Amino acid sequence: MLDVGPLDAFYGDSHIVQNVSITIGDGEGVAILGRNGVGKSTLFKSIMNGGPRVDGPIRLRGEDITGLPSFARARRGLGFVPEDRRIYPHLTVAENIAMGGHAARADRPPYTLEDIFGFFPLLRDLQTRRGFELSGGQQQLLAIARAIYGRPDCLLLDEPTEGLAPVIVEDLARQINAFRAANGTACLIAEQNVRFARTCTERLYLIDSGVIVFSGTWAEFDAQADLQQRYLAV
Amino acid sequence: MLAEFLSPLFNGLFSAMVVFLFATGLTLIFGILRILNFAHGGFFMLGAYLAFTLVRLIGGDMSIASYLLVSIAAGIAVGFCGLVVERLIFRRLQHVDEAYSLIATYALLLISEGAVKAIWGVSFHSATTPSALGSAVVVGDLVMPVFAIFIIALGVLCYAVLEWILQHTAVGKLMKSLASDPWMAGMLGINVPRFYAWIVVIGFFLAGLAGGLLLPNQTLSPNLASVFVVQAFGVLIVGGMGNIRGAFLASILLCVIDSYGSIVFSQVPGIFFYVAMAVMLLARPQGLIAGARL
Repeated sequence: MLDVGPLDAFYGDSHIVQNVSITIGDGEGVAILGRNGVGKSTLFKSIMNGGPRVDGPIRLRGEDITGLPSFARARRGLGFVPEDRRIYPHLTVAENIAMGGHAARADRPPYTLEDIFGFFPLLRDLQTRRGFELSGGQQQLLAIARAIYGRPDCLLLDEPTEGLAPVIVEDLARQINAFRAANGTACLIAEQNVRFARTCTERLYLIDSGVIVFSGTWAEFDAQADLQQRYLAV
Repeated sequence: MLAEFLSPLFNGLFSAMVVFLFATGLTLIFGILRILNFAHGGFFMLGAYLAFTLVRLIGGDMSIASYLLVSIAAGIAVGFCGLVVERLIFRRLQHVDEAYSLIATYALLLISEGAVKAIWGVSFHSATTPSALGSAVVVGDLVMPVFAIFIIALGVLCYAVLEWILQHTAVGKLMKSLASDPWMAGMLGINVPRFYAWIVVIGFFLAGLAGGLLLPNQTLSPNLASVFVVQAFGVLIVGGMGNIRGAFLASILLCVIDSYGSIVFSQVPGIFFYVAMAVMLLARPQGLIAGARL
């Protein structure tokens, strides 16, 4: 469904992402694990054409989207939640969600607000709150709701658990899984939280200094005990 | 007695709305695209000259309706210029240093001045005020020209319409969202470049419209481009860098202070606009309405 690379990405002269290839099947959940600053966010922004200079192909549902601007990629079915969430502070929760409707395809209308509140019940009570009045966990939930509102084929979540309390992280994992199970939405998650990533995905890539150092299922990951120590422990 | 106190207020409000009408397009483009358009005055002037030519073609005395229609026609023509300018110039300024914006729009100002000289020549022209707006209202010893009352009303109306659009319509909320975070808007599937093109067209339309509306008040010469620019920049900065409500309030504040100041210190007329601006920037360097764009 989403075939990336082999891809190189640069900020100025810095070669951040190096020869990275990843694929995500229909409805599949895939994690990208790695420490801070190894290129996870740059990879996501490259997939969305949101900043870095990118060299290499990106295909979505077989269609070449290399060179398309961000908005066109969103409209072709990529729902992106950036690391810093970027909720619009002056808009209400309901208005923030509705902003995601711009990505809906002509042949596939967006979800209704009612659908969204079904997936994320917490947002129902918050719908008239403004973006600046939300806690970090609420903002994260809202950012995800906004990204799925336009019915994407693939959801891209950049460090969704960053800065969230453990109990909220558990809640988030449950809701994401329930949504994906019901709608068959593929999902690419960049994470440092191994537990959360394991709950939400079927396989993973491990990235270090812009290079993929491991790719496989969670069982294969667990079989190599040193991986976590070498590439994830602080 | 009455006139001594109220006449400066009235005159101040009149110049405030003249400056505000001039500054709306400038404020809108700066608020959303973050491009400080030095050429704004040039396209305001182009609007005034186009309206002048239309008035000549129609001939005779103008009704208020034809005066408004001529101004709108001038606005639409200048809006088309905006479309061309956006394609050729503004689109290329999005991802480069601000210094390039200043140079490019300053060059555009020179081009617009040159175009006006080439088409209409360097001699002075003036249009007469429509006779329906030519009289004055007298209250006690306070004399208020109808044209000035009309411009004040138009300025307030223009502000009210823009404010209503920004605060209460879906388009307005979208404009504020794009002003505050265009990157995320693109990620959510909004065609940001096309949206920017519309804003430039609307900004230029407002410049041309203001040129037509203020025509009866102006002497046409190629210097018209720079008459209001400095005051408009002052209003833009004091208002809070691209905030329509801020620009409206700043226009009133600065122009009314200037108007009273010029009565008290009549040997230095016009200086109090800048004194008030300097004081405001010292007291509130972030502007009257800071934080919120538009």
